[in-house]
Amino acid sequence: MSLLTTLHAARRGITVASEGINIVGHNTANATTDGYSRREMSVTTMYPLYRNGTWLGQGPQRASFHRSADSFVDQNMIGTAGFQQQAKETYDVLSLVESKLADSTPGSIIESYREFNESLRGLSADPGDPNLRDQVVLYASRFTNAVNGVAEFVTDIQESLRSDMETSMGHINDKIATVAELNRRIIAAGGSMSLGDLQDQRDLVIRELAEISGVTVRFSPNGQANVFMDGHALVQNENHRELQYYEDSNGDPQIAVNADSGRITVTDSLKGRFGGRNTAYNKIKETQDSLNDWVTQFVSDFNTVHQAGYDQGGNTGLDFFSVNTISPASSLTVDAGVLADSSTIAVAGALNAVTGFPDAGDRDMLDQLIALEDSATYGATGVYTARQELTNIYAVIATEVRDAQDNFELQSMRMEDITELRASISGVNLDEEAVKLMQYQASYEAASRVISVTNNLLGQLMEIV
Amino acid sequence: MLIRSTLFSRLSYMSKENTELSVDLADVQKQIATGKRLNRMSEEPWSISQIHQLREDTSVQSIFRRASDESTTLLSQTENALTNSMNVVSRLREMAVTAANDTYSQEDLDGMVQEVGTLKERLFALANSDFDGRFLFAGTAYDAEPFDNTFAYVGSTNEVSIDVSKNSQVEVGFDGSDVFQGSVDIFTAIDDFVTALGNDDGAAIQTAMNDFDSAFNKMGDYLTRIGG
Repeated sequence: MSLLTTLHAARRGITVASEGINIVGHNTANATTDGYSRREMSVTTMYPLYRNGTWLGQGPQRASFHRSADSFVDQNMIGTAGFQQQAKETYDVLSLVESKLADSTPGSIIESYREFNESLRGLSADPGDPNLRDQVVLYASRFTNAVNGVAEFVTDIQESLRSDMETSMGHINDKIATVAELNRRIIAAGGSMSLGDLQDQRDLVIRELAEISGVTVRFSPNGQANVFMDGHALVQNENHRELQYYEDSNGDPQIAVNADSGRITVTDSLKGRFGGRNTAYNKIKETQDSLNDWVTQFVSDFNTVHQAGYDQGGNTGLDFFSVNTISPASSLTVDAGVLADSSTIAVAGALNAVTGFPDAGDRDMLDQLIALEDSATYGATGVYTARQELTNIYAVIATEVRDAQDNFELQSMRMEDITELRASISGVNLDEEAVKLMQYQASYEAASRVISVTNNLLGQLMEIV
Repeated sequence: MLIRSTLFSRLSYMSKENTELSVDLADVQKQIATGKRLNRMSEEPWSISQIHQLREDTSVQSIFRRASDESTTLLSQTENALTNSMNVVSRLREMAVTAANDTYSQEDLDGMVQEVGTLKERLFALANSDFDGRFLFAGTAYDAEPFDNTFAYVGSTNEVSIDVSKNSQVEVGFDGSDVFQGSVDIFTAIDDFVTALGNDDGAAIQTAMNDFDSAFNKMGDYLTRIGG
């Protein structure tokens, strides 16, 4: 009966070779698929058969399908993806603010502030000239509009960051649930070929999660993955916990993990796009605060001097700017009186005793208003002039944008290295696959040859019988 | 060290190279199009302070240049008015010298009175001269005539100055009461001269001559200030 055993052995050879060809096909077709891990098959011999005092070989068998992946590299890749997206998002949002601040563009705060001061200097040539006074009002309005514009933009951007985070929650929670579900199916798939496909799919979802909110991942030996955020489990085997959005008492956006014991806030350790938005949100808030402080100081300084002066009608104690204390930057306007009539700009230092009105050329208060430009009352310790403090506000944003850009480049380089490393471990090399294809083809042809020879032999044997 | 290179990594490497090149190219094109080396603050955050300072200095300079132009115009107008006034006063002095000569008859002197009247009006007009509605000898109250029709000064005694740099100012509007009435009130002096001519009062004519000298010198002082 050894001929039949040989027939069986050859059949097994064909099976293994065709499975091998299938794997080569799968690998080759997925050579450029993102997140694909190369499959390999390990083959062993069947246990030999002892018959009539001889050992008969039974051919090969597939021991297992193997997914070429290094969990350490994959974990690192997921972590880095979070950092990379965080830096990118911070850059994207803050560079919007940078554009809005629009350095060197007419209509930006710094330029319109400069033009306003220029118009004051211009007025000093002839403080009584209605045209020059109108010009001061015009430039003052442009300046207040520029400040309002930035303040409103900053508020809008914060609002949109909040609502984006809130509305993305459902999407994120779906992904968390998907990871848990794929974990369950991975166990159910046992050792079949679909195991690797499920793992690839799951790892892609985890990477998306990392890009959105930054997660860390640990792979279990059984093929399942556990996902954590700031050390708190989001996915544990087949179980998962959801993320929740809320706003704290300051109205700032917060993200928390929903746990049995209540919510655990993880906002500050967010990475990915959410982390980037959170970073940007906080920086924007700092800018907003600095701008509000600046406006408050500026209006207070300017109005104090202006109130001491006399307008052309001989009135004193007038405001030039008006502002509310809750949101100084967005409420800054030129005082309605000045806006309606530029003769109420109070630049004179005294009244003419005879006429009861100030002289046309009296510019004593105007000199003081112009001198405010150089008075260092800004900053925590009062060491900066108004212009220098504005420059600081600009510089803070510019530096943050620059930092985010540099950080993004750094993380991208790391990501690139890890991607290459991962490709080296898990990627498909087409030359290698081509060699394997020839190997399996040869093996298949050889086994077929054995079958046909054995078949001939069996035929001859039948004729003899 | 990579053990295996794959199609995927080679493709992603190539696409990355392409992207980086095109980003660099776009940056250069932007620099060419705008003519600026820095188009965003974040390209060189450390230069912002310097750039803002320079931009402010440049703009302040342009203001001061305009102010200097305006001062020059006003001052040349003032110079004209002063030179003309001095011509008038010098003519008055000549007449006083002539009148002091005993050879002139009362008839001749009466003829002189006519001319002195015209000269006084001319001087009054010069004292009230303006440039573009801005009276040159009214001090800071330069929006109205500094001398009323009784020849009393109603302007301001504060001089007008224009900033021509952060630390220096130029006086462009003078106190008319000092220019025309500072050492001696020129209008009163003219009136006294007319009276003296009418009476052929040699001593009073001599006084008028001295007054005209003194007024002439005062105006000369202001002319020197402008010249300086």
